[in-house]
Formats: sequence, structure tokens, C-alpha cells
Amino acid sequence: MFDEVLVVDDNPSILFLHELMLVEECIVENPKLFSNPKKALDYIRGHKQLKLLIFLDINMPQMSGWELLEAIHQMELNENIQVIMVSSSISKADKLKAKEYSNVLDYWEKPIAESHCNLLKERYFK
Amino acid sequence: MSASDGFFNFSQKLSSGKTDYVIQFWNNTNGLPHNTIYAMEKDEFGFVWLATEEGLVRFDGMETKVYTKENTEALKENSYYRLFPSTRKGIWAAGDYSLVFLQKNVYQVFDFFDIFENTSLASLTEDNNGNLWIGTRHGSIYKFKNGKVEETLTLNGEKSPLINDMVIDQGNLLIATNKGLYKLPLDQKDTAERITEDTFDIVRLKKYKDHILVGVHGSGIYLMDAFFDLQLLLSDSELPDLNYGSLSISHEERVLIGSNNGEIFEVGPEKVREWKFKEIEDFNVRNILADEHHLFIGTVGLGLAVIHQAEIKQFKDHALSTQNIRPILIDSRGNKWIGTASKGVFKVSENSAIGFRKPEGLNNENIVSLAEWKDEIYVGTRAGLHIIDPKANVVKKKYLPKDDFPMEVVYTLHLSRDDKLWFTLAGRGIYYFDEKGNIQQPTMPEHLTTSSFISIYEGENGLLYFGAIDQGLVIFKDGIFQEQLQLPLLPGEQVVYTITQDRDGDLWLGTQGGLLLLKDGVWQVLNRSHGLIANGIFSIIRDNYKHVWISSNFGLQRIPESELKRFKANPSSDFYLNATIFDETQGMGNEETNSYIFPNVAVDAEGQIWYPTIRGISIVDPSKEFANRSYEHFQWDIIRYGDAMLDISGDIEVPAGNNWFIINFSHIDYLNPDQTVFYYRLNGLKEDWVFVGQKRELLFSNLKPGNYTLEVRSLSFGNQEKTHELNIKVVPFFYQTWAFKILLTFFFIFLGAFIYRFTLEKKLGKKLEYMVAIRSKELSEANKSLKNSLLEIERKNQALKEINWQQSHMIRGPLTEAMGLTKLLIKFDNYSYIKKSKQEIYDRISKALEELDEVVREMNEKSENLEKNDV
Repeated sequence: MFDEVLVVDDNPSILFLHELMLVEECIVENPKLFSNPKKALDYIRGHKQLKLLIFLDINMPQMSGWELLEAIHQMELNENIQVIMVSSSISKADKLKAKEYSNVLDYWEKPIAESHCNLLKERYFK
Repeated sequence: MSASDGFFNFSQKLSSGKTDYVIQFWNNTNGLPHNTIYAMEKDEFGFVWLATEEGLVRFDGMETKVYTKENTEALKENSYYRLFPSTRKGIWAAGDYSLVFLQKNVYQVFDFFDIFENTSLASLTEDNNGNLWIGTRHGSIYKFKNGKVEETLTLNGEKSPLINDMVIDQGNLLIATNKGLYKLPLDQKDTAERITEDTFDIVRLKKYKDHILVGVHGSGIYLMDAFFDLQLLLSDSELPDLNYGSLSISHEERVLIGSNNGEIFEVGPEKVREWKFKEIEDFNVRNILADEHHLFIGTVGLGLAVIHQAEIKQFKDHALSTQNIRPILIDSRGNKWIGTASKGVFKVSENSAIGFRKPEGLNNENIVSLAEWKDEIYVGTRAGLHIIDPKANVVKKKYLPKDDFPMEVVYTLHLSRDDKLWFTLAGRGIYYFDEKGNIQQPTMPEHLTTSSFISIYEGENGLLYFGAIDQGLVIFKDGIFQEQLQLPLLPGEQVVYTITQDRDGDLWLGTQGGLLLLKDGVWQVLNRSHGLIANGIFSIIRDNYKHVWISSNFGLQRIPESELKRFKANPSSDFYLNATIFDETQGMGNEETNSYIFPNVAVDAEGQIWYPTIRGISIVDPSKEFANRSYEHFQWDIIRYGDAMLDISGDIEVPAGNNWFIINFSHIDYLNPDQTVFYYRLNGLKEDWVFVGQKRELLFSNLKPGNYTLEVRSLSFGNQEKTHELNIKVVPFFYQTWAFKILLTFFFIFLGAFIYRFTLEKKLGKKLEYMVAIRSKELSEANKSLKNSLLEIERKNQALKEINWQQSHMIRGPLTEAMGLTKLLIKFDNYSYIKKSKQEIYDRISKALEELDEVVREMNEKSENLEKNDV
């Protein structure tokens, strides 16, 4: 269903953790990891034809998750790119905001847990 | 005689040839590595140990466990010739050049290869100080003390004799050799004195009461007193073929010895008694071991024979004991009419047996049914019915297949209380002889007139029940058909072998699908899955001792009436019957009792039950106290995990990282090992008992670390229960320990405290907001000019919320990281993809926690500032 899976988070430990969860829970064998959201955006720009699933953090110094979402929206790649927001924020406002984007599949609180992955597999990887 | 009288009461009858015994062989077809037993000893646990050329064997009545150097690393060799009991609760096994200490399993091995030059171990004995005295084939004696060997002396220098046996008595080491008996005072140790002729080839020395029993090859058995005077007990000339190596003393201090041709003798002070076992005739008896209930015989060529008294008699008659026996009828005069499958019917009385076969007028010699009516014996066969006058012993009348009323297979013959003789014919339904002897056919549905009925029962209620093949149960009353009942059985199980009623008047059927109970109009089925001996039940008999006996192709089963009551009260699918099975191991000549005959079983005037089998008749005396001996020889045996295999001798500990372990136990019982089943439960895991049948091995996997108590419950004969406990500790990894969990808990409490404090501040903010709102309202009402101030306050409030959001995000950053890493650590071993070491992860957690600490400090500072400067 997806050609590639991207994980975007400024914290390398979290990146490693999420990669491990995705691999171990068999979501994807080889996720692409980005600690800088701008680099992620460059990559997206260069691969417009790919169907992507992005695990996206919100609070990042170079560029926030929302800004990245906005950029995707402007490139009119909403169809090709599905996003799961993964944030340490437990704020209700953030969750509501995530719902406004049509290509945001879900909003997960960090860290990614097995239950998350199982749900995802159930829905999109069966 | 009751079975608990012990073996030696039995043995007295054995020598008279009057009693039945059961002999079971253990050889290389069923568990022994070799058919020649060199030595045999029973240890204090109750195990019988055997020494063979192909390894050592531990036997518990049910299983043999063979120890060879191939399966037991410690062993040096496979040939063992002698076994010696030790005072240390074990057995010494002597090979050619190694010594093995056996305690439940192979406990310790000592290698003497470098010490014995050109000789080998021949004998040993233990002194009171725990030293071992070892004699060799070439006259040398060694003392083995604390793992060290010291040579003491060699007998006779160059012409050194073969040391056959040694005992320690009154401070002397007595040494039996093929060149006489020597005595070595233990406190001198340098000179051994010969105390008999050097022509004496002494094979065995046994301590016996205050004496020493001396077995001398070619001479006889002697008793030696404290002054070394020998008194002849049995001369070799009297019994020339004795095997002196088999000299043995029973638990009742009787002297036993075997011969080279299968005889066993009990040597008393006055007379010698022979015990005869035709099964071991002509085979060399090498060892004898007699305990309370058994005789163990180690042979050359036949393996081990275990003999005990039979609990079920076989009918002894040279003509009938090997025959396929069909129905048995005991007539009003006490004569036994015994039908056979191919030799007609025999009338057996006190002193005589008369056969009725073709020459005597029987047209068919395969007997199917028997009955007595009007002082005559009715004999139903595969082809025709014959009437015998029992006084004249002649066949008076016949009904044959080619008569006007053709009679072929006469399945049943039953005399009803209204004095009619009912009979059923294969494929032709039900008939009876009326008072005048005329054959009548009762009215019944058309389809039943072509059915086969193989059982008849007349109930207390006057109803006559006929059990059919494929047509269920048919009921008559006063000679009139009442109804036909279908049975809840599968095709193929639809055979009613026998019908009876219990004390409550409820109907029980023995069928090919188990026992069927009809209670309140509902059928209940009791079959093999409930512990019934078989699904095909041929007969049901109630004795006068509150038991019900049933017969099958696999022997008999005695069921307490209370068990059937229990089933009636709660006929659930997990009901398990507690009952005793009787088969060949209890003396049945053959376990297959016969069916498709009528009657299926007979009871004589003494209440004994006669069961026809396909080879002879088995007779049960229900008044006997069967098989009720209690054995308490339960032993924990070994535990295995990973590559380790360890003896269980107390609480056990399973090291960390072992996902599974196996526990073995033994239940030593040489008499009725099949009558014990086991249950287990693991306290700390499950409260229910798990049924394991006769398995003596338990596998546990994926147990969480912790302390458990394993309980194994043995249930013998359906009523004797014993529970045995074993404490098991499954050791955790570091991250599974309580210490680590407590550490984690502290960590989370610490976090919780900060989060609490944090939310408190949030609430404080709200409270402020509220107060400010009230106040602003007052102000607004009082003075609209203060509106600007109010706006200012609201703006600050907004700022507070923002700080709140930021702080929550800041604290959750490192927190989620630590949480994720901790989870990862817990599952570390399950993950294959991890590219980092545990240490790296620990470091990351530590760093995340430091960050968290930093954040919390900052927050604290900010909130303090807020309190000071704001609002």
C-alpha cells in the first residue's frame, strides 16, 4: 500500500526506538529516518511519485510538524502522502488540529507502542 | 488367603504347587540392555538395580532406566559384574576398573584404571569408618579412603588367588577366594591368615544372624560361627547344580539359592524346599532377591523375572484351561456347564468332567448359550439347540437348522419368572417355549422379527428387556411387546452385550459404546474417556462388597458402587472414574473375556465370579482384599533444562534464561504399577489439578521467574491418594528482578510527583483565572475604565497557558524517550533488530532522566518567578 515509510523526529533516540518498533512489529523492513524535517521535505520533493507513510513529530527546532504538513499540502501531495503524527504532546488542541488535515491518519502519543502498530497493521497492512 | 499375607505365605503354597503366581519378564525386548543379569540389589529408595555387560539398570516396576557410558558421561565402562549395598543410602557397582556409586542415578564414578595393573575389580566391602576395601582378581587388596587408594597387601604373592567376596566381621576382613578363606585383622593390615583349607573355592560370604553364610563351590553351604568353625548346612552332593553366586538372604532371613537349571531352593535348618517356576526351567539363576511381596530372579538368558502371587485364579483343568471358553452355567446341583468354541460343552462336577461333543450327540460344538429349565440343560450352539438330560448325561432332543422350525445361532436362552424359556435366534427375533414346551413367537413390530438379540434381562419390575444389535433395547411385559428404545450410540457401537438394574432400579447397559445409564428417561454414557477399561463392556455383575465388576476385551474392572452413584449424581463430561483394573498382571490367563454368548459371566455358590476368556476361565473371589497395598515409594528423580540433567535432592533452582525444564519422578511399585495415575499442579500458577495419567514426566515452559511449589498427586486403585511437593525457584534475569522493578517504580513515582506538582500549578493558574474573572467583573461593574487592565490580565492568562503547554511538551520529551527505552530493555531478548547494546540503552535512559531533571528544575524556577512577579 505504501512504497516507503519515513520517520521524522529530531531526537535520535526516538528515531532509533521508532525504527525498531516498526521493524519488529513488521510494519516495514527498512524505514527512512530523518532527524531534520527540512531534509525530509527535500526527500519528499525528490520523490513525488512515491506513495509515502510518514511518522511525524510536531515539536522540532528546524521546522515544526505542522509546517511540514503545510508544505506537503502546498505541493498538492495530499493524495500520495499519509501521515501519522507522533508527538510527546498530550494537548487536546494538538489532537484536534491533526484532525483538520485530511491526510493525517492518526495522532499517536509517544513512544510508539505495540498496540499502536497492531492497530495500524490491522487497518492498513493486512 | 488375602493378598496382604506376604510373599512367604505365598511361597509356602508355591512349593506345594497349589497357588497361582504371576511371572513377568524384563529382557532386551522391553527395557533391559542385555538378557544376562550379573548382579541385582535393591536400594533404600526401593529401586532394584541390575548389573549387565551392557550397562547398569534401574528398575521401578514400570520403567527401566539404563545407564551406559554413551548416555552418562561420567561412566568409564559398560560392563558391571557386582553390586554392593552401601551404608550411605546407595549401591556400589563394580566394573572391571571403575567403581560407580549409585544413588537414585549415577552419583559418583571412581576410575582405577591406572592403579590396577593387569587385574580387575572383583569384590568390595565397606567398613564402619566409610572406607572401602577392594579385592581384585589377582589377590590384591586395596583400601580406598577419602578418594585415595592405598594398597594393603597381596595374598600369597605369586600364586595370588581370585578374591570372590569380602565381609567385615568383628574387626576382621574376611576374604573369600578360590583358594580358601582368609582373615585380615583391620588393625594390623599386614598379614592375612588363611583359616580354611586352600581347596575351598569360596564364592560367597553373607552375614546371617550371628553367623557368616559361606557358599563353597563344589562343596556346599556352610554356617561359620565366631570361632571360624564351619557347619555344613547343605551339601553339594545333595543338590549338585547350585549356583553359589546366587546365595541370598530374604528380608525374613531365609536362605535362598538358585541352580543352573532354573530351580530355586529355600534352605532351612531341617529341610530344603523347592519353588517351581516352569517359565525359567533350564535357565541359570544368577541372582535372587526376595522381599515382602515379590521374588526377583536374575537369569542368564531370560533377563529379570519378577514373580508375585496371582490375585485372580485360573480354572485348572487339563482339558479346559487352554480352551476358548464360551458361556458358563452353574446348574441347581452345582455342576458347572462350560461351553467352548470348538470342543462342545463340559459338565464339571466335584470329581468328574464329562464332555458333550459330536459323538455324544451334539451337532455343533461351538456353544453360544446355556440355560437350565425343567431339570434339563438347554445348549444353544452356532447351529441348533440341544437339550441334555443331566442325570443320564445324554442329549435328549435337538432343534436343528433343517427342521420345520429351523434353528441356527441361538444367541440367548433365558428362563423368566413366569416359567417360560425365552430364546433369541440370529436374524430372527424373539421366541419362547411355553409351559408345554411348544415354541411361541410373541407379537412385535415386523422389523424386530428379523433382528438379532444377544442379551436378556428380567427386571425387578417384571419387565423383560432384550438387547439387540443395531435395534437398541426392546421391552416386553407379561409376554407382550411394550416399546423399543433407541440408544445414544454411533453406528458400530449399537450392540447391547448386557443389561442390568442398580439398587435404585435404574437401567445400565453394557454396549460397544461404553456403559449406558437410563435415569429419569435420559441416557447417560460412561466410556473410556471417563476412565472405563474399554468401550465394549460384556458383563456387569454386582458383588456383595459394594463393587460392580465389568468385563471387556482388556480384562476386568472393579468399580466401587459409590463411583457409579457419583456419576449418576453428576454425569458430566469431565467425570473420571476411580476404579481398579484386573488383567494378566494380576493373574488372568488371558485378558480377553468372551462376548456374543449368554450368559456372559457366572457366579458360583461361594460368590466367586467365573469369567470365560478366549483361553481358559478366570475366577475372581470378590471377598478378597484385592490390590490394596499402599506403596509410598514416590521419588523425585531428575530435572533437565538446557543441556543440564541434575538429580533432585531437595528444592530446585532453575537458572535464568531457561525457557523450559522437565521434571521426572518415579513411583516404585512392582505389583500394580498400572493402578497408579498422577495429577499435578503448580502452586503460584494454577489451582486446578492437571491429570497426566501414568506419565512420570512433566514439562514446564515459559514460567515467569519466581517461587513455585510443584505438587504431584498419586492416585492408586482409585482410592489411595498421596501428594508430594517440590519447591522450584525460577531465577530471573537482572531486568526481571524485583530490585529492577522497584527501581523502575521509584522512577515512575518520581515522575508522578512532578507531574502532580505540575498539574497543581496548572490548577493554580485556573484558580487565578477564576479569581481574576470575578474580580474583573466587579471592577468592570465598578469602573469600566479598568477594562484595559482586565484585558492585560487575560493576556497574561493566555501566556500562562502557553507556558503550560511548553512545559508539558518539554517534560514529555525525555519522559517518552525513557519510557520507550525501558520497554525496549524489558523486551530486549525478543527483538532481533536491535543494533545497540544494553549498555548503550542504559546510558540513553540515564541521559534522558538527567534531561528530565534539568527540565523539572527549570520549570520550578520559572514557576517561582511567576509567583513573585505575576498577578
